[in-house]
Amino acid sequence: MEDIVLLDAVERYLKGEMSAEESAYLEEMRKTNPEVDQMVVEHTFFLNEVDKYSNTRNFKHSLVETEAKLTDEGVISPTIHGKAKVVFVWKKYKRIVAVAATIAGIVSIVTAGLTSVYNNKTNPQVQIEQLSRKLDAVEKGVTETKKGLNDVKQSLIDTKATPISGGTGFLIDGQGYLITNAHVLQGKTIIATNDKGQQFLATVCMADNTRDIAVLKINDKDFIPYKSLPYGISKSVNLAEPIFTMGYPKDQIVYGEGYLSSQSGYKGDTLSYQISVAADYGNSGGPVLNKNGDVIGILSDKSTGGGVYAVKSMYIFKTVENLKKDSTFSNIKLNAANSIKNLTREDQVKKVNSCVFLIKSYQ
Amino acid sequence: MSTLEEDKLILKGLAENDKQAIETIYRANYAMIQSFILNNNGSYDDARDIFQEAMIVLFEKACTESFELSSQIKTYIYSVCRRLWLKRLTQMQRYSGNLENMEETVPVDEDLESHEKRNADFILMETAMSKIGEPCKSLLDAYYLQKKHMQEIAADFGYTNADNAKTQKYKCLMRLKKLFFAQYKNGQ
Repeated sequence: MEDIVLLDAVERYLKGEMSAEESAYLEEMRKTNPEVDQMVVEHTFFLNEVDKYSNTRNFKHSLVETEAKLTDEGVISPTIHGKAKVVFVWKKYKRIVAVAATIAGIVSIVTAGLTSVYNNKTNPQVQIEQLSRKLDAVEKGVTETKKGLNDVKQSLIDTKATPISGGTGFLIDGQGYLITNAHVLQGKTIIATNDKGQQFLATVCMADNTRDIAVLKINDKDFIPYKSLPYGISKSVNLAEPIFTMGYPKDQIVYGEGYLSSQSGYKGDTLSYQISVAADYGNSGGPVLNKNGDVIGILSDKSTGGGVYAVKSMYIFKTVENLKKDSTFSNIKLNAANSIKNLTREDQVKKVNSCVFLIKSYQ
Repeated sequence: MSTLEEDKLILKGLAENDKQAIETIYRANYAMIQSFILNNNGSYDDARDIFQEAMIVLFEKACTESFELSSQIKTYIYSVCRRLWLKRLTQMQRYSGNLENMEETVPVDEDLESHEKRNADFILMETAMSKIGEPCKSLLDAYYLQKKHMQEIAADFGYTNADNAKTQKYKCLMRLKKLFFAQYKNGQ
């Protein structure tokens, strides 16, 4: 009960409703009694809080009422009228307009680009023809230069002669022993050209038409023997294993990729494998390599049905063994160590490149 | 009358909770704030919310004794709304990094800080009020908010005399105080 009396006293004191005597008495009590003093301070603070609360609440009421009134009058509305609206609409949509304009721009550029691409495509033959003529001209120039440089060699051949057969061959021994298909060598004079365009005279050491294998020896003082070959020769193969080939269907070396499709060749021929790879005339005699870069065969021919066949690598070994019986060739040594196993395909190809030759055979 | 004198009069009215003053401010500034909010990822409801809060900030400022507005009401309201909206966008993680500026602004951070404090106290008191129960709530509401006289309250609530009503009011007030300080001290 005492508290209530005190609270009432404090409230009257704050409102200034006390007589001078009363307030003097209260102040005296505050000085002598800390509890009373604390009570006064606390209650003053609390009443102040209540006061702020009530003021804010009353103000909020007024705000809500005023807002409702102005909404009724249309001063506050979701849409803005007059000039402000135009500005607002522009500001609201300017980003969309900018995006739309950008898209329109891109579309028109793409359209223009596509149109020009298709216009070019309407006449592709003309372009290719032009390109091939240019190539012919370049080729002629190159051929003429080579003729000049190699006039000694050329004199050995009838300068007007054209090769009667040709294909690809690859080294099996760094001293200059090449292996190729027997059918590549229809003529008597053989010219092997390396990836740098250097031409070397080569002789046939042996040719086995049954197995379609021939061994050539480069007999040219310009030829620098290879210390080692990058690839080994492997007899083991697996169906579906990835393979790659390198050869000269044209004057530039061509790389091809595929897989081993069958352990036997054309019509069940057990001398060869069937492989699936793009091959053309000129690829004959080229190496077929597995993913490690080991030779597994010699690309030999293709059927009209589209099958491509390769002479099995085991016949490379057999051929060399037979050849070794001849004392002239007893020093042939097949390369067994593979130095490109863990290289990327690009690097493997770079190494193999220099060991693959373009073979041309003249009458 | 100059703009400054006009503004002073309006703010005086605002501090006294004069609806006419509130209406004047609304008419002069609301459209600007709405287009600002709408242009910056906001809605019509956002605009009304933000404007109301800015009005409360202005009211609180107008109520302080040492109050002196250093800028026009228009600039002040815009600055407060801009700050409040930026904060809300950040909270919603919708702030794209550039809030377009339509008007000049004045620093309002301090005012907003004290507003936040007051708002927290307001919520505390409101919660305490809602917990004391009837008839305490209505009794205190009548006395402190509606500023009714004790005799009037006694008649309204059916007390035989004003003294009884007063006693009851104090009991209620002590309950409210207890509730308020319990939370207030927890919150500090």
